Order: sequence, then C-alpha cells, then structure tokens
Amino acid sequence: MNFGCIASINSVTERESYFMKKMLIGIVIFFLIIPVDLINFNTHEMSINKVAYDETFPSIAHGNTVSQQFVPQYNYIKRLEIYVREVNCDVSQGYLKFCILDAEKEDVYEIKVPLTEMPSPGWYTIFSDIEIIAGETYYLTIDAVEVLDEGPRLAFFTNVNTAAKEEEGQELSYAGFKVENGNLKVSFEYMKPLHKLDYLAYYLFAIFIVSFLVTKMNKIRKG
Amino acid sequence: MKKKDFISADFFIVVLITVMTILYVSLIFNRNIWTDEAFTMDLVNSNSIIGIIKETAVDVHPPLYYLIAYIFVAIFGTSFQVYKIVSIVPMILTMLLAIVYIKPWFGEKTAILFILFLNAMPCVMEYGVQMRMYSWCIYFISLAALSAYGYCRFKSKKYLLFLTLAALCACYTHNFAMISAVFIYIFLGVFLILRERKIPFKWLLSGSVVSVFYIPWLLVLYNQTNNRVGNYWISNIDKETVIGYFADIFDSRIPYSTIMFVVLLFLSFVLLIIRMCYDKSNGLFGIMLFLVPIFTAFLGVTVSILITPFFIARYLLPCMGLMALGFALAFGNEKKYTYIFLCLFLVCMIGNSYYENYKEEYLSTNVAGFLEYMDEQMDDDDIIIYNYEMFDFIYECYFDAEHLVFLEDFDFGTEYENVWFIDSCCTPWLPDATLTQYGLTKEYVNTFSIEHNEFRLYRIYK
Repeated sequence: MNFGCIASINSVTERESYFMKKMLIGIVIFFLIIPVDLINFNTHEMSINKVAYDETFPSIAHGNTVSQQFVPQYNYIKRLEIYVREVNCDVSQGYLKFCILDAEKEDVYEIKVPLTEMPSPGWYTIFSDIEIIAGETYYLTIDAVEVLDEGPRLAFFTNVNTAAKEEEGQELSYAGFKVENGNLKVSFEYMKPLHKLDYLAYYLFAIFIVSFLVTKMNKIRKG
Repeated sequence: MKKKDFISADFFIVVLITVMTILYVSLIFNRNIWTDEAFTMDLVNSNSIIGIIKETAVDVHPPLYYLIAYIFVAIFGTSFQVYKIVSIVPMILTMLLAIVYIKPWFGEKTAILFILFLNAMPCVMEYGVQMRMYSWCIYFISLAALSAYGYCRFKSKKYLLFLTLAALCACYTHNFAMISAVFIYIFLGVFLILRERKIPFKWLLSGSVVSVFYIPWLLVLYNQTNNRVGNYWISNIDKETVIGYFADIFDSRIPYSTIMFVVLLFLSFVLLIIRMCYDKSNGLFGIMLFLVPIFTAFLGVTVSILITPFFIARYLLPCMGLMALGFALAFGNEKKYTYIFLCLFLVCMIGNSYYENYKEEYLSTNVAGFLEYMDEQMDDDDIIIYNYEMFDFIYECYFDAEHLVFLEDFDFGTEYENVWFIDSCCTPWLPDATLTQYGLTKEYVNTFSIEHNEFRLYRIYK
C-alpha cells in the first residue's frame, strides 16, 4: 500500500526522509528508556462489601472498640469510607477516633472527627490519600470518645459472603470479642499504577504529535 | 496509483472490517443487559408491529429501530444474541462506507483512518453491541452526510435519493438523529445556495419529502415533549455537564484519553480550516462534519435550559460516524511515519476499548453464574419472587412471566415446590413471621447480580 511515499525521490526529500527516520527512531528510544515511574499515571479501583442487610453495633462508646482486620490490595488508598447507619445520639460533645494500626498494633494513622460531621445515614470518608503496604495486615479501630451517650451506629454484616476483598478471612472484633463471620461495612478506593502496557497509548500519541509537529514545521520552513 | 496498490488497499480495509466485526461479535455471547436493553426486549417480544408503534408513541424514541429488531427476531428467534447482532449489523454497514464511498472519494488512507477512528472512540464499541438504536443512528447519519457530499460533488440524483432515505430513517430512529439530519440538510442547503446563487430545487424537494413523511411522527413528538416538560429523568444542565460531554464520549480506562482526543479534535479543526483555503470542498466538508454534532449539542443544551432537560451526551452518538470521518479527512494526508504512528495509537485505543467492553460484558456482573444455577436447580413448578419492583421487566427477559411474582403479591399459602427469593435488600422485606406462619425454611444460596443490582438469592421451602 502507498502510505503517501513520494514517487520520485530527489536528494532534498531523501535527506528529509533520512532525518525523519533518525529523529523518530530517537524519539522511540527516548520513550522506551524513560522509566515508567517518571510519568506515573494512576487509575482508580474500588473495593466494597457485597449486598446484604446490615446490622449496627449497639454502642461504640465507653471503650467498646470496633476493630476490623484488613489486608489492602494496593499501596495507596485514595479514600477509605465507613457506613454510618444513624446518628441518633447527642452530638454536642465527643468525637470518633479512627486509627489504622499495623500488624504489631502500632499506630500508623489516626484521626479524630467531631460527631457533628457524621452523616445519618451515609458513607463517611475517614482517611484519604494515605500510603500503606499492599498485602500486609492492618487494623482499623473505631472508638466514640467523650460522648454523652452510646454514640452513632456503625454498620456491619454477619455474613462471610459479604466481606470486601480486604476483609476476606480477617477478623472483626467488638469490645474485645470476635464477631463471628463479621465484617465492617467499608469502602476502599485505591489509586493504582497503570499497567505498563497501557503506557503504549501515551507513547504512540506523543510520538505522533512530535512527528506531526516536525512535519508541519518543515512545511512552514519551506514555505 | 498502481492496480496492485488498489487491490492491497481494498484487501487491507476488508481485513480491518473483518477483524472489527470479529471483535464486536465476540462481545455478544452473554446474557448481560441493562434497563434500556430490557425495555427493547420487552417491547419487541410482547408486541406486534402496530403495538410497537403505539408503545413507542407513548415512550420517547421513534419506532424504526424496534421494527428492525422485530423483523430480525421474527426471522432468527428471540435470543439475546439476535438482539445484539441487530446492533452490530449497522456498525458493519458503517465500516463498509469506507469501501463504497470514502476510499474512492478521499483515498485509502482516509478510509483506513475512518474505520480506526470510528472504533477507537471509547463510546462507540460500547453501544455497538447494545440492544439500542444508536449504531443504526450512526449508520443513517454517516450515510446521509456522505450522500450530501456525493450530491454536491457529482450532482447525481442517486445521492440525493440516498440522502432522503437515510435522513428519513434517522428521523424515525432517534429524535436527536433527526436534529443531526436537519443540520446536514441546512449545511447542504447553505453550501448549494452559495455555490449556485439560487435556491436549489432538488435539495428543497428532498427536504420536503423527508418533512412530509416525518409529519405523522412530528405530532407524536410534540405530544411526547409536552408530556415530559418538567418531569423527565434527565437532570439539569450546567457548565460542568457540558464540559462532561467530552469525557462521556472520549473517556476510557486509560487516564487522559479525553485530553488526547480533544487534542486530536483541535488539530483536526486547524488542519481542516487550513485545507479549506486550498481545497474548498474537502476542508469545508470536514468542518461541516464536526459542526453537525456541535450544533446538535448546542440545540439540545439550549432546549434543555429553556424548556426542560432533554439532552445527554449519549444523544451525540448518532454523530460519531461524522466525527470519525472528520478526523480521517483531517489526518488522511499525513506523511508516512506520522500516519503510521496515528494508526498505531488508534489500534491501541481500540484494544483498550475492547478490553474495557469485554470486562463490562463478561465480568462486570455474575448473571451467567446466576442463570446457570437457576437452569440446574429450578423446577417447572417453582416460583421466583422479588422485592425490587422496578426490575420486573428485566427479570422477564430471563424467566417466564408466569414464574415471576412481586413479593407483596405472593401468597405463601399456595402450592409450590420451591420459592426462589431474589432479595435486593430493599423494601418490602420478607418478615420472618411470614415464614414461621407457613412453616417455611429460608436458605441462603449466594449473592448474584443483574444489571449492577446485587441481590441475595434464597431458596424457600416447606
């Protein structure tokens, strides 16, 4: 097939063609040796519990800590959310304390949120843009601190089939006791690196644009 | 060009169309559908031709697509695959326009680019296999635009006839395809008036024929529009919505794909404007191709702001063939390497689009697992009850209506072997007291999903 090759090649066009070839080979090599990390594009992935009727903890105040063991799938959590079923408590005082602990129960992340910020009902983002190690075991602990009554009601499931991927085979405990087949209603949104093969689209697009602009500039230069 | 080149170019285009057809066909071997597709199946399966026309008159879309589907179903049966093939056929016909018109008129490079751009735009492959009318709209509008060009260039009545038929079909397929067809006529008319310095009679005649044949549905459209003012499902349009149209058309799983396509769109515009100064017909035609979707969107947005929200990005799908041709015309004259890299980029985007749609068609829900389980376990006397009332017509696509009962309408005292309860975890709930009253046992089976609605399946028995 004729892709627009010039039928009669004179010395000028031959030189240009040679130059174009060299330049494009250079661009291709340049893009191939750029470490993918330098242009590090990310994509999102969600992980959430399967559908079921949820239940609520009677109280997360007075030391009745909720602790959900989890194993993250990727290294960067864009958003970690929990589901608040209802806030039928006195919100004038107190806060919710959310912690992420590592396998040795050392604090990795901690945040305190006033009760007034809790939706009723709804998803609440407890952590955003946090780095974590994929495949390692962590604990998400939740306490209502300095509240005047039982605190807000958080949702969980008592069905092993509803666990989010991070909760599969992991333990949910309430007030120090294991909740049989329990898993907290949570949503993990990750930022994960794009697959290396996907970068091909960017490389080809960039090479096309450079090639396009060089061709046009040559045309303008020649008048 | 040598004869050998012609043969090889034709062969290459045919291979490209064949590969794309295989990709489309590979996406249809599933029973995954969403609400609108269930509506199509329900409408076509349970109505005669007259019934379809009557039903569409009280819905929002014109009847031609449903009538085409009706004919296919009458000949080939009511399987999901037949419905999906109904949508693939116009995609093949649109690609064949590359051989019939685009290659002879604009060259093989443009023809190849047309096919690549058409399928690389992320939204196209998604709707190319859906049981909806959009792929037919793409075909009719592309044919109308090419026929308009053919008439301008060759002044042949044949093209005017094709334009008339294609525009009329577009009008009877989708309301916004009708608007795009109107703009094709307007641009053609303006061009002819400026060129010939008089009102072109044949153009007027063609437009009049389309108008006269469309009048019966225009009255229906008027009533439909009036009935939906203030109570249509589309939400209000603001600045973000309009900017979001680009993402709706060009966004894919690869981040920034919208930006890449918008850059191509900008470069196309610049190239076509420059070309217009040298080669008036091609450059101007290319710009017109882009102006049709722009004007369609502008009118849709204006109507939505002034009257009631009627327009969403999906309604620009009929113009995707025009966009692909506009891109192809703009970049069809590029030098060898530039052209090859553009083609490779588009092939990459087609692969990306295919991967995304494959996941959507086969992996996004576990309908297959659910249906397989029910095929094995369900007896003839079994009843399926459900508590998500809105999904009744979707369940009817999978099971006989006589086996399906809404939870609140079901009498647990009747005779049955098993009751299968599709529990979408919404109201109405099935109270434990009811089960106790009739001495029933409820056994959890699994969590499945249909059309992104997850549900828990229970078997209830005595």
